[in-house]
Amino acid sequence: MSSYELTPEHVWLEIPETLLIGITSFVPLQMDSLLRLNQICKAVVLPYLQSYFPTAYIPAVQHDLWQLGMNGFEIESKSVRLVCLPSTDWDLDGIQVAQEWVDSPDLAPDYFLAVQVDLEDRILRLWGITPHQRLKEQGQFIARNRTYILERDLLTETLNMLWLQPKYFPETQLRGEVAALTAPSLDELTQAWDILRASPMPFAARQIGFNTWASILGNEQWRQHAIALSQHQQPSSIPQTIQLSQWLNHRFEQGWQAINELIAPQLVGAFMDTQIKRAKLIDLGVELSGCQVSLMMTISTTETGMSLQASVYPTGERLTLPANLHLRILTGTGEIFKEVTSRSDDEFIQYRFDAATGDRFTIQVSLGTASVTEDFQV
Amino acid sequence: MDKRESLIDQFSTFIRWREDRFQKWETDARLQRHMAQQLHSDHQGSSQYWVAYWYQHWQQSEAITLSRDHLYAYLQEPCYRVTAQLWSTYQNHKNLSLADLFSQGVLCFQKLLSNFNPVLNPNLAAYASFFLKWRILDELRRQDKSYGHTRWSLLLHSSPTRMRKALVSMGLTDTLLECHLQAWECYVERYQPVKIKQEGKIQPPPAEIWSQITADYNLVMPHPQDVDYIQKWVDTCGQAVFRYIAPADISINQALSSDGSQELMDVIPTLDSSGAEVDSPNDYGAIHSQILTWLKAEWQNLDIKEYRLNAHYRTIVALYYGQGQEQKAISQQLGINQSTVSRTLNKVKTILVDRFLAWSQDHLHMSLQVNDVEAINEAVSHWLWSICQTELGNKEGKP
Repeated sequence: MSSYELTPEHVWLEIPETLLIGITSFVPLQMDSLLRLNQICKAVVLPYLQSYFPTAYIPAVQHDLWQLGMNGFEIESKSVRLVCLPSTDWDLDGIQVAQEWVDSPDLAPDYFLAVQVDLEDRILRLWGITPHQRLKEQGQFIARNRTYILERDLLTETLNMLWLQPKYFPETQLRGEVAALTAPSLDELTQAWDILRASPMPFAARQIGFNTWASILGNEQWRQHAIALSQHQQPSSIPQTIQLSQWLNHRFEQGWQAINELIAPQLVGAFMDTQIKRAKLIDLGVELSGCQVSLMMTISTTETGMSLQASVYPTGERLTLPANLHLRILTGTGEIFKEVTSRSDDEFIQYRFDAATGDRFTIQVSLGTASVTEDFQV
Repeated sequence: MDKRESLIDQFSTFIRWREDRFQKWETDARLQRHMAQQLHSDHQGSSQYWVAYWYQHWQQSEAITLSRDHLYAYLQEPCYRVTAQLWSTYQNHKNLSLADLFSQGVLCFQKLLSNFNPVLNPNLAAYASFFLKWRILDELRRQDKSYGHTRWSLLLHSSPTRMRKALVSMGLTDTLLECHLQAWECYVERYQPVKIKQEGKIQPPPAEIWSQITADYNLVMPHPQDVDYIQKWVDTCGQAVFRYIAPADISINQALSSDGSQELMDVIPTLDSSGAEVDSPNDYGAIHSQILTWLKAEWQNLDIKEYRLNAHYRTIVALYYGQGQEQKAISQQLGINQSTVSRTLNKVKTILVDRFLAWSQDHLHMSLQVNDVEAINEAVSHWLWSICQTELGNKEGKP
């Protein structure tokens, strides 16, 4: 243990030994040290801050953000919103903050709080704060890795500012201007998925345009998709039977999205109000240079069950399907009921059919040796 | 080090070093003339008066650094005393350079002054000693931490700010600077989770990790590099940050080399004719006394239950501020953690700043801004010191 006196301005907190051995995670090794550092820091810092801000808590989205390689975590309370930035650096020359924390309207806090963590000596210290505005305006933005850095002298090392400022100077401007995000185009999204599939984090995130990336972070479904892709899993790796009757109540399984999120509107004809359409991204694998298509299901009720249409559309930059793409509809017993095959330059392939309530069927989309199946029940 | 007796010396001389020791006080001609000119018309004799005077004038026109430089000269002594004390305390740990530690202190002068407010606390020397002690200790702690670690470990524990400064001080700029920084970042990303240790010391990465690092680099940078370059760059980063010592404030060196050519002071109108816009520094003493009187009563009546303070808080404060004991000694004496002592002191200060802000709204003829909170926080330490000293029955005076 260091023999130096503890700087009295800073807040020193011990890290209980149990924390250091207890943290487990099920994420790739690279994420592990980031996750571990942040969870340890959170476990020690949150209770301390709660003694001054009893309503302080950490928003649920935080776990997702860690899995996407973002260092730091947000603490919200009634009087102030702050982002805690843990670091294992030995020097206090300055802080580094990911652009996502500074320029995303949803994530930008009032203050940033710098925490130096020493896992060896089992102690951490809260040593500096800065209002968001000061970081944005006086920090140096590094375009290469999309971070802001601020030198030590520009930080406030008087931590009690956090509770005194809201009490005595509530009108103080803390947050700087943060421009609203614009919704990403379908192309931008698809490119993002490609990048996440192909490149490791955190570098993958930086290759995606900031607006697109920040928008992905702000959308629950996209975020989950991003996490799954970056961890090399299919979005729905748990086999499940899609309950189409629930679609009539607008309850959709994970992965089944509004069609405009995946399919270019000019490819899809008009549809009637009595029909419900959802689409799912189908990834046919790396060996086909990342061929992605969307499977769209259109349903409407009939007297005995449902009228259904299964369609396959191109996704992303392509406006036509690859040739020899198969759409097969299999019965509950696995027999091929109908097969449709694409030719080159088809904009889509589809098949309409009826089914009775309770019927089960499977849809298979395949190209060459790659295939994906989805099970349904009416 | 010889103590400077005359006011002129206190506000116009800097330390000249020789072989890592104090050699003599060197006069800055420009500052000397300026101070002499002021003393000629204003016969005030206390250094505290002049501290407040230069501080005030510096606040009025920050672009003119002359006033600030007077304060920098004044700070040489407290900085030296603190440095010498720390140097002798920790000398047995390793070979420390006195001049280097002193430079670390000088680096903090700007921040130190920005948190200083002579109205709240007129004793700049005492405040500076406190401020500089902790900053230099932070530096010692940092050095100590890296001592005995390999460069590969240092690379994993350096801030981007520091790495950037270290590479810049080696002469790297623009694209090449960013290339080095990116290579280093890729090294940290890949190697941090899997770092290989031998006998507790972190080793350089194996070939397959270098390949991964290079692949990552080529993903994000426009010009792909091969493994040899990446390794070389990361190695350079290691050397840079290992050797890096922050350079002391250049302006002081410039002050020393100035020889009296067209001086800025010939251009500034004489300051004592600036009119009665500012309070005389002599008035500051009255406010300071008012604050101390208030604090004495406040401190006596502080209710432990209201604030959930540690049961020993009065003892801790008395030992720390009154007797000048170190936290470690206090923690041993009371049988509690050092971090508990530290946090208790911190909490006491927070409470007092809180109560001060509430009280000042009605009783102090000073409008306080949010930017003053830092200075108030620093001042509270000094007020506590003052009260605890008088409680001990000592005469209140300079430390």
